[in-house]
Amino acid sequence: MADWFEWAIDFEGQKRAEYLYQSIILAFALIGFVVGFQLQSLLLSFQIFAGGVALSALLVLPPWSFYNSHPVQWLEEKKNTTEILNEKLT
Amino acid sequence: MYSLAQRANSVFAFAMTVTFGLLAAIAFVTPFLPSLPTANVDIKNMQVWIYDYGGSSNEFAFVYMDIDAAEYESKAHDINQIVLWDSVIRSKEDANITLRQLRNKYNFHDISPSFSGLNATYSLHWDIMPHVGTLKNGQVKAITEINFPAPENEPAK
Repeated sequence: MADWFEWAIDFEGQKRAEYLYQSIILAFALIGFVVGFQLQSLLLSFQIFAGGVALSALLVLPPWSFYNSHPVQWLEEKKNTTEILNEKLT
Repeated sequence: MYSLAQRANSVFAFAMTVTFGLLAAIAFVTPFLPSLPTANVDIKNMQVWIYDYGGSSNEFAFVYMDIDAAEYESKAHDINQIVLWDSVIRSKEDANITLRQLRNKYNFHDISPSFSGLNATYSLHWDIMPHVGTLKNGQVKAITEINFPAPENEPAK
C-alpha cells in the first residue's frame, strides 16, 4: 500500500511541482484578499484561498506524466574485470 | 518533493504560512476601513420609583429612550457609568436600528439609595468587533445633564 502510494516524480518534475504550488497558492491568496476587501467578506477571501489550496493539491500531489518526462539518465554499466579478461582470452 | 508524502507536507505547510500572511494582511487593513456609525439618542420620559432592595428601600429609575449608557457624577463617586441597554448587531442588514419608547433593559439604581440632586448624561457607545483585526469604539453623546425626577411613590415603612 505504502509502495503503491509513493507516487515518485523525477528531479525536473519536483522543480516544476514546487514552482506550481507556490505560485497557485500565492496567486489565490492575493485574489482572495482583493475580492474579499472589495466585497467586504472575510468568508469569500478564505473560500477563494481554500479553492487555490485544493487546486494546487490536485495539480501537485498525483504523479502526473509531465512530472516524469525527464527520467534520470544513468551512465553505461561498467564491465567488471572477469568480463574484460574473458574478452581478451577469446 | 520526491514522494506523495513529501509533496503533501510541502503544499500544506506552505498553505498554512500563506494563511497567516493573509490573516495578517486583513488585520492590517481593517483599521483603515471607513466605518462611522451614526446615532441619535432621545430621552422621552423618566420616572423614579422606590423599591425594597436588599432590605433597604432604593430608588430605581425608569427611562424611556433610544439609549445605551448613562454617565453621571455623585457626591461619593466621580464617574458612574451604568449600561441601560445593549444589543449585538451581527450583520449589515440588521445595523439600522430604530427604537421608540424603549425602556431600560438593565436595572438603573445608584450605589447610594437616592438619585435626588443628581443629573446624568445619556450616550450611545459602540464597539466594532471584526473577525480579524483591531477593535474600534466610539460614542454619541445625546442630551447632557438631565435631572432625575422626584420619586413617584413613598418609601415603604
